[in-house]
Amino acid sequence: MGPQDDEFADDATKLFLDSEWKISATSDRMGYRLEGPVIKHLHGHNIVSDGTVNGSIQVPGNGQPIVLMPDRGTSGGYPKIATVISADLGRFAQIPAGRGFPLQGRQHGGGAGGARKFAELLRTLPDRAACHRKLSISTSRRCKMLMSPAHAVSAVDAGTWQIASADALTQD
Amino acid sequence: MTFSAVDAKTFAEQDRAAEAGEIVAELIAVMSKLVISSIGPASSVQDGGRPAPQRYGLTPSGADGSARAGGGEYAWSETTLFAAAIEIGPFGAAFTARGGAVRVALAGASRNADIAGRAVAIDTSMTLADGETLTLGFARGGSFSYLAIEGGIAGRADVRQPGGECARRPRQPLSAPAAGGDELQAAPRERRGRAPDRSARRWRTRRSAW
Repeated sequence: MGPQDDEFADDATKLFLDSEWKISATSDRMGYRLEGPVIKHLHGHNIVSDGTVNGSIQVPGNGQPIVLMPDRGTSGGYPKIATVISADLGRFAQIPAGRGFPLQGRQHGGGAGGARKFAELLRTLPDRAACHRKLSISTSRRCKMLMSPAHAVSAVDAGTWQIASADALTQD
Repeated sequence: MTFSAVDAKTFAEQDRAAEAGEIVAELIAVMSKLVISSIGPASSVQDGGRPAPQRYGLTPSGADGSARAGGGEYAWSETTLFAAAIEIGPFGAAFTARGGAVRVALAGASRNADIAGRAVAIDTSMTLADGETLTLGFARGGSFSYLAIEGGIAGRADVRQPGGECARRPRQPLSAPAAGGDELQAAPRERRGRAPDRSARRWRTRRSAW
């Protein structure tokens, strides 16, 4: 899950994954602080400083994880128990402070499929918008469907950034 | 703080002018502009950020692509797709068009939105007539909204950061947090084109600066 997930015992990892977390009101663009049960380290909270990425989940000494956001520093000295997959980072950023949310464990590399799908969506967006532009006055249901709010790109709801399926495209 | 919106072609002209010390604004056929009448905390101008110079310890900043892309898409302008947008925090905001109509697009968290009292949907594009104000309420079901201007936003040469990006870098004089009174200039509507991912390209070509 994370580069230092071996710094945590299995029961600590399980507690981390099975608990409901809330984003603290003290969060900002550097990091979102999570509020929930205390996650204990196996060997203390100091490691040799290590590179971070957007979505790195550090666990500092108080056991309350911090998810690093885009204004983060480029390295950090707390063990990183897990990483938010890149395809979910936008949705994570949109979670309002104080609202509980669950976590779901993925094997290393398990987020790659989501990242590929998301990249494909962004890549094809201009063409689909162009389709909408050209045919905006026509009654083409295909293009209407593509640009309907349900197919809009939104960071709030996972369901809204799914690429329209082939079935949906051929329902004209 | 004033930002000018330019299309892909004028970026190169703008760079040359900036390096020659000329006043960049004169190169741009400035039309209308969007004035931030009021805006809450945790708001800033964000683009894709600067991932490359992290190896020098520079904070990447930037915003997630999805909501920004959504905003850009609804502005019907491919130049804005991966370009800057105003990231609006959980509180309300108001934007007023000056000097002509401004086409904008709003994406991200749902919130009440109206133009001069007419309710408008989010995740869509809308045109503000000269003098009209877009008023946004508190975020519901999310935290951040992204407002893109048709044609995109580009910081003035003295505001833009070394790589050309205008994502906010905290605690630096180059940062561009959005605040009440900021003016963002909109590109002429007929200028459209597909812009490359500027942040990545810039850092390749300007590596010597770092």
